[in-house]
Amino acid sequence: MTAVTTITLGLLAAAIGISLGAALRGPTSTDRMLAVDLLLVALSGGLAAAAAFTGRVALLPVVLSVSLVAFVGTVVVGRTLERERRR
Amino acid sequence: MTVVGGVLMLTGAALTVIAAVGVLRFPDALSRLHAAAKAAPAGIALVMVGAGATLGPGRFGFTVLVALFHVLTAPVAAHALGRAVRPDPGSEIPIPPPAALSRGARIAGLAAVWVLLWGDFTVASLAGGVVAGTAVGLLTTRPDTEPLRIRPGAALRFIAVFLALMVRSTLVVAAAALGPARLVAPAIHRIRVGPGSTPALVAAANAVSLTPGALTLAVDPMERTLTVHLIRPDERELEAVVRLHALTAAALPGAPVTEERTT
Repeated sequence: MTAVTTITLGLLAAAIGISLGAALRGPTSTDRMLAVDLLLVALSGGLAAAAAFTGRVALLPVVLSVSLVAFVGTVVVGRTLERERRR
Repeated sequence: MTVVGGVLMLTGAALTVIAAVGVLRFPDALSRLHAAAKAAPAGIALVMVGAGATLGPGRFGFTVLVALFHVLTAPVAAHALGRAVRPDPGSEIPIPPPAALSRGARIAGLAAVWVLLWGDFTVASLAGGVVAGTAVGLLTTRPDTEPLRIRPGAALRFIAVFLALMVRSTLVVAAAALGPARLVAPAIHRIRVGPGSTPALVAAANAVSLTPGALTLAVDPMERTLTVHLIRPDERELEAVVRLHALTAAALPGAPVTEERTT
């Protein structure tokens, strides 16, 4: 474990922790969803960094899947929230 | 590990933490979207490119694709959430006919994505890409699409300005996330842009969400206005919105939308 590895993964872990806190705090559903989106985006970055540091390229498809879930989930929840507000 | 890859990943990770701090500190949902939609994709794109540089040329294309995916989807996701919380829900705006590249260009693009995902350029991967690209191209063709034309020179000029503005906007959001609370004074502006095609307006709306301290809340193709949420309004950022649209209008030529052509 070099210093770069430790700091990079530590920073991304901190980003995941902070966005988890923001998701728990809210206060609205939109706040929670954007925090969860950030959590997943940071997670995909963390997985990519972990793949680079360990050489485990099998993690890369997981990176892509997490990114897709983050985007599709955010858009679906956003549209649902908008429709509920219009009613 | 390469030095370049390490530096890129460190910078990207730092930007991602700053985005998370912004989400925690900013006062309202729309301001928080700025942090999630600008600093986070920029940071993660750097992490991805850094990881690709470390893993070697066979994986570089894959990570660049993921980085591009984050940069392209972040404004769309932010817009979807922004619509849910914008103060004025707005009226139903007529949807102009969609535009798409020619079938050949789409199949070539999808085949290129396929080859980059596999990470090796062989006859088998290229053939697989053409088959998958043709299938997707046939399945996603709509009869009412308008042809999408791109001027390469103008597109390159747009990308250069876009990247410069993206660096600036990331710094603006980072300063607001870490600095004193007075750096956040959100306001909503309705900005009228110049003439241009509908694809240009859509491209500008997404580019605006990624670049200056602005986030697109609504697009009106008839009135040619963009309703944007600004984290700290000033003249420069309003001008940047109009300038970005002028650049996309030059890159994506076409007729502006009219009453008869909306559905």
